[in-house]
Amino acid sequence: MTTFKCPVCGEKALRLTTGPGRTMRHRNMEVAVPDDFQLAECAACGARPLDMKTVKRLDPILEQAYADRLSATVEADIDALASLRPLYEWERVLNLSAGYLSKLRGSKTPSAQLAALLRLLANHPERARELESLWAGEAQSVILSERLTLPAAPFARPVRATPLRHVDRQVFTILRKAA
Amino acid sequence: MAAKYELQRVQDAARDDRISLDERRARDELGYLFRTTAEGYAFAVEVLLALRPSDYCETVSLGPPHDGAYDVYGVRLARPELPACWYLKFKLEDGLYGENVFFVSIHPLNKPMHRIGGLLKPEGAP
Repeated sequence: MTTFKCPVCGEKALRLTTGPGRTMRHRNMEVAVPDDFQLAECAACGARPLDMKTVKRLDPILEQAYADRLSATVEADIDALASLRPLYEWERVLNLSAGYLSKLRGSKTPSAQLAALLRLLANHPERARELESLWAGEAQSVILSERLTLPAAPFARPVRATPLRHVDRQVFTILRKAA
Repeated sequence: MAAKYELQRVQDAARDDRISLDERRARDELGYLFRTTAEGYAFAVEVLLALRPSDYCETVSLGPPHDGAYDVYGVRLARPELPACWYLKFKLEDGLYGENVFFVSIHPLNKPMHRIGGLLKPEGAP
């Protein structure tokens, strides 16, 4: 097997490898590299430096893997959501055209932003109420209501870390006042 | 103190696309900012070609497993869609097709850097 000098450790241990289980970051996602794609990897230090020629060959492959993984993720999350409420209701919650989520289950490639949103909703479907409030114009954002009621360093606490029960109480109070 | 690698030779290699990037602090960092890896590499070439000798900061040797010395540069770019100040750490080495620039780091500058040409501060730094 031909080996080259590794640019990282200097050992003559850089060689082209193939095989399963190799991943690479594409945009913000870790995606699988096809088993038969030759990648340079150092047997001594594990470095995987990529030159421009390899990148140009690899990019479309990683892009396809990225799209495939997004689609698979979205399909699973849509299935999870569909088990809770009809899809047309989720489409209304997300302000999507009728039938859009069904199309995503088929061939359409989703955006990463929608995939992220669907993942959050699939994991925390109860938060759909916040979106319903948003579209109904019934309440200010929960962040704003928290800012008004929490005097001590409200920005220091990430919104995602807010206990759900507390958020629910806030929304409930606002909705009751509005009613 | 002068740079270890002559900037002209570095830029000659860049013009000919003879660059390669390490994973974490180079390729992955650009991956967050560019749609494709190739766009990130094209940007790395662009940054190298924009370098001036006054952007040089220091030459460093890294701990294991790294071998050899790396030149560190800081540069301000005029691309409004991207962070303005960038940190670069690279070396020039012999490759199959001539000299090759190997980046171990290329990412937005995250703390002030003293360069030959003066202090470079990232956005929002005091």
